Amino acid sequence: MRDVLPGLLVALPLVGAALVPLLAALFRRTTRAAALALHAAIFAAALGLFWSAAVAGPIRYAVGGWPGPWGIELWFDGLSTLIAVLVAGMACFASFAQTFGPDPDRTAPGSTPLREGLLRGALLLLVGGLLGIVATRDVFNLFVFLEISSLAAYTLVASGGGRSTVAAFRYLLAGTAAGSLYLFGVGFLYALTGTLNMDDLAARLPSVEADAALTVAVVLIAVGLSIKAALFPLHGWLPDTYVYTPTPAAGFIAAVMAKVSAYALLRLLGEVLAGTDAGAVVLEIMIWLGVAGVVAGGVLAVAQRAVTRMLAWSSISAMGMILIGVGMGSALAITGALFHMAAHALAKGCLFFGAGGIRALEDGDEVDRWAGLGSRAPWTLAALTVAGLSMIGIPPTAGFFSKYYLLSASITAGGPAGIAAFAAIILSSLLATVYFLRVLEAAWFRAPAEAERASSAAPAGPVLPRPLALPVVGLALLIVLTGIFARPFERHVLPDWETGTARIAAEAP
Amino acid sequence: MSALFLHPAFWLFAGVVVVFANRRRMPGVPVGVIVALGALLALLRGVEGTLETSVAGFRLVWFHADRLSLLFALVFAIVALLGFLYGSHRMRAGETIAALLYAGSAIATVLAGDWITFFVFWEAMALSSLALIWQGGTAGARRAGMRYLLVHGAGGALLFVGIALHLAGGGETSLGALASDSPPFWLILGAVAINAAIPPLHAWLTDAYPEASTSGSVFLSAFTTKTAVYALLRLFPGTEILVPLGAAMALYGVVFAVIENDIRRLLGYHIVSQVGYMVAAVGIGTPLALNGAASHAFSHILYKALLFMGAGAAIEATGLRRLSDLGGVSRHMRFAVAMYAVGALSISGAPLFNGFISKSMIVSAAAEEHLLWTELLLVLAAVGTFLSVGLKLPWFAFFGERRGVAVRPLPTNLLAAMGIGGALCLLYGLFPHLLYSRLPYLATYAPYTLDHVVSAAQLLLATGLVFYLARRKLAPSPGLALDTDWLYRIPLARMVAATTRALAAVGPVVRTLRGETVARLDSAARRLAAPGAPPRRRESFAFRASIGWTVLFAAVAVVITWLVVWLRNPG
Amino acid sequence: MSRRTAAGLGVVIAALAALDVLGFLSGAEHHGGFWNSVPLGDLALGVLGAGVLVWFSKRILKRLLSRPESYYDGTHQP
Repeated sequence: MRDVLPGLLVALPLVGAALVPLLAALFRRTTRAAALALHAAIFAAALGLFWSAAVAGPIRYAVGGWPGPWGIELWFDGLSTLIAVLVAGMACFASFAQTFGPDPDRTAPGSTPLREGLLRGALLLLVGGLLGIVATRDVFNLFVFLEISSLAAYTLVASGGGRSTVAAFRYLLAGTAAGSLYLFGVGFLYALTGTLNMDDLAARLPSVEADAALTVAVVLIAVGLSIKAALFPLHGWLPDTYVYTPTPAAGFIAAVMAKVSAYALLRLLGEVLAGTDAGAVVLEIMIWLGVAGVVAGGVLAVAQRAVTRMLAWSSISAMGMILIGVGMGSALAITGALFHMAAHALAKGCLFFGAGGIRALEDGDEVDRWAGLGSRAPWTLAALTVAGLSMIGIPPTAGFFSKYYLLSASITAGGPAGIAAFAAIILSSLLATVYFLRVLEAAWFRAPAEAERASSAAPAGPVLPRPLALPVVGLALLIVLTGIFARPFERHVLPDWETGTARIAAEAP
Repeated sequence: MSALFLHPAFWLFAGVVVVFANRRRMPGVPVGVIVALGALLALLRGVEGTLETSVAGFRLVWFHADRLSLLFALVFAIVALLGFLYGSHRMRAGETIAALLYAGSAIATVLAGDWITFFVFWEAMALSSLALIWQGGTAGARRAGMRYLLVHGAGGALLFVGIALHLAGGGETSLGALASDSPPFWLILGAVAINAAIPPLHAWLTDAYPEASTSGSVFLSAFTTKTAVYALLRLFPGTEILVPLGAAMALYGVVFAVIENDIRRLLGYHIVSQVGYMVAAVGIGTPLALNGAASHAFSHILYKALLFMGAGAAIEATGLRRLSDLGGVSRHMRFAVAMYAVGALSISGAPLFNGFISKSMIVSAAAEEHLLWTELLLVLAAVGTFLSVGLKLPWFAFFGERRGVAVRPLPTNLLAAMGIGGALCLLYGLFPHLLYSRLPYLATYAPYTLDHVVSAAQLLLATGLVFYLARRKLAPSPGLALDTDWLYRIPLARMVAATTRALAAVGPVVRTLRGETVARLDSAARRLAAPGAPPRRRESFAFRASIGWTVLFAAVAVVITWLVVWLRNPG
Repeated sequence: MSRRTAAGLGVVIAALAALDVLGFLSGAEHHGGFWNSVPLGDLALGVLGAGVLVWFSKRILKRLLSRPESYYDGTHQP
């Protein structure tokens, strides 16, 4: 199993991305089942790898039988398989939600079977790119997967038509700039060390003289990936992209895309480049920028009137929190960052599926539109409430434990950065309380506006169609389960990370 | 697993599921009554021992019963039962769920054996009480709820930070008295002080409680502040600063109650005042004082629920909530007025009622420690309590001048709940050992000595005399009195509004500047590339903004590079 | 206050005073403030205290803090 699964994990989505549009063109009706089956298979492969890595240790897989440092290697330890499970799992929900239709306002060009097939193909391609980033052990290969995932994402964002196209274009410009910066950085590294393999890089870097070229390489890589991870103040692309992306894709993109880039930052800066002076300073700066992002994201989320835009700003706050954890780099902080990736992905996916669906069906995105939804769709709203509470950090949801780890890490780290991070995370919880409970209060305790009650024929049934309602409720359950059964995080992920960094430190001359 | 079913809060949380699943078919209150009864029986059986699990790597002690926690859990279950009975004619599924969660998390908080569990249910209590306030359904309830949320959000953050620091500093995971003068000590004390409504942190209480529904405020009066008293007893016994704070608090509530016009806000000020007795007693810290705090919390929950039931009965019957509007309605609701009188005599510390057997314990404890000023302030507060709750409120609300107010008949369940509440107040007043035998600390006390009784009688008589002489001066008038909530309702709100306006004004300025800069850079580049070419149409904003980002990214990269180089070899 | 009420009140006060004295004579252990050691001290303290409370609340506090009920309406609130 350990010989087959790694290849499958990356190959399945890429092959599927070509296959599904073809199926759609030829057979029309099988598209949905085929895409779901593929996503389920990918998820199963990711789970299998996670289990295998947890039980029998990390897996090194040489693509095409060429071993490193010359060939391309894939690397599956507790850390990467965890993110892979997260990506593949969210993709299952997104694929299910794609049945809802591509566009938020249902005015985009008609949803033909071929078009549906192409969008499902784009999602598979996106998943393939993200899993590639997660798995690869080669810095140039990482760039390739970064571009694959980005291109697929631009397609999905633009598929809504109208404003989505503009948002996708802006995202494309930012993403291209990010990719170029990263590539430049990799170029510098290659010139300095003559290798692209991460392990090889880590082994050779200590013998490289710490000069300006190395500093520039580290900074370019950090800035490039930080743009993709929406680290404040490089977050400009995020709000519009999240708001105007069609709901099924938004639930996926908002949940995992920036997090995979944060994972890449963790891999490169926290592991490969950790030994360099420049890397250490960049990580310190990242903590401060993360603090600024946590506060700015929270404040601007409070200032929003539209629910999805509020969620987008709260994502910037959450990404700041994750990057604070990455920047601190202690075992506790990494646990917190990883846990927050998972907790935030589940909650944001849930909220974007829900809020996007409500926006489409209620024909508006303002908080007032949520008035009275609690009595119309209690189960859906209960699920969204759980997600909101997790975002605030109310126990026993997953969000509480991730914030707990991050806060403990901040206390342990101490110093001005630790104190600032601590205060920012507490403040962001308070701000999140304000902006989430504002929405929940409208949904549960306010009657719908008089005019609306009179005009509408009062659809008493569920507010969300099944393709969105099921992911929303499923993710809410997962949020609670992740909170309660969080042991795997500590037991499997962290030791791998620690032995990994220890191994690199030991191999350094 | 079987131990789970012994946890009294489990019954209430299970009730939530049942009510939610049947939310359309029935109002849900029968379930409330049944599960509260279940919790009560579980407690009366005297379950002891601990129930712990390991969750997310934390050892959680869900249930740690000793005499102190069982005493609070018992009275919480009693008052939950009374509350559901009282509200069963009007409580819908939503309010029932909020009340079940609120009562359940209060019981779970006092039974929690470790810090994390304690925090979990403390927060659950804050959120479910907020839901209960919002169930009031008015715009006033909504806004008061938002303010309540802000205050308790801050309190929760303080508690969390305190606990995190305590645990990070290698502190015990199980709940216990904290080492004084450490940062966690003060942070947690601050959080508990907010929930105990110690002035100036008390305004959330008098702001929000009157805005809940009539049944909602019965629940609210019982749990939050008394859980805080429990926390003080558990974590801060003998903290000296609490003595002056508590004594001042007892008097603070009283003087504001004298000028208050809204009947439930008046009773809210008396929660502040009565909790002041308990806070002072915790500060005194002798076994007698701690017993006094615990037993006064027990008595207080019973009579205060009864008083809020009486106020709610007046509101239900007339639809009016101000003393200046009410008047002369006692003929139509004699039983409710009689039961209110039982509650009023209890809170005033009249012999034979349950307030007497606990309040006099605290005053005696202060006297034994020779805390003359504390004793004096507490006696004065007792006088003021009888003046406003025992005389002013019933006189102007129930008796006094008839204003031709229309009075609806009261439902039987409401009267039954009041009857049971009144009976309990008398029962514990007449047979103090029923309560004393359950007290946590080793101290004996005899309430019915000649000395105590005569002294109490003299104070009540004196108050009556003064009320008789000054009754015209005490006549209520419409209007509200400012309290510390003014600070966040006017100056803070204005500051926030001004900041928002300023931020909103900055946005367009930045956008214009950025657009202009980029456009100039753009046209300069064009001129360089193709001199003499005619200026072209400006690109769309989206395109120009993206150029701006690229410039920004490059600038960030340069700045960080410079920082890295500078930080590595400064100077 | 009718004559009969006043007379009744007088009797009650006298009885309380007698009980107070009886309490001292019985020599029960006694804690507490000085007002407890004077016959009818509690009564005096009560009258004084209640009077001061009414005066302070109604005369001073009310003048300082009383506002019309519409005071908070229309202000920007969270």
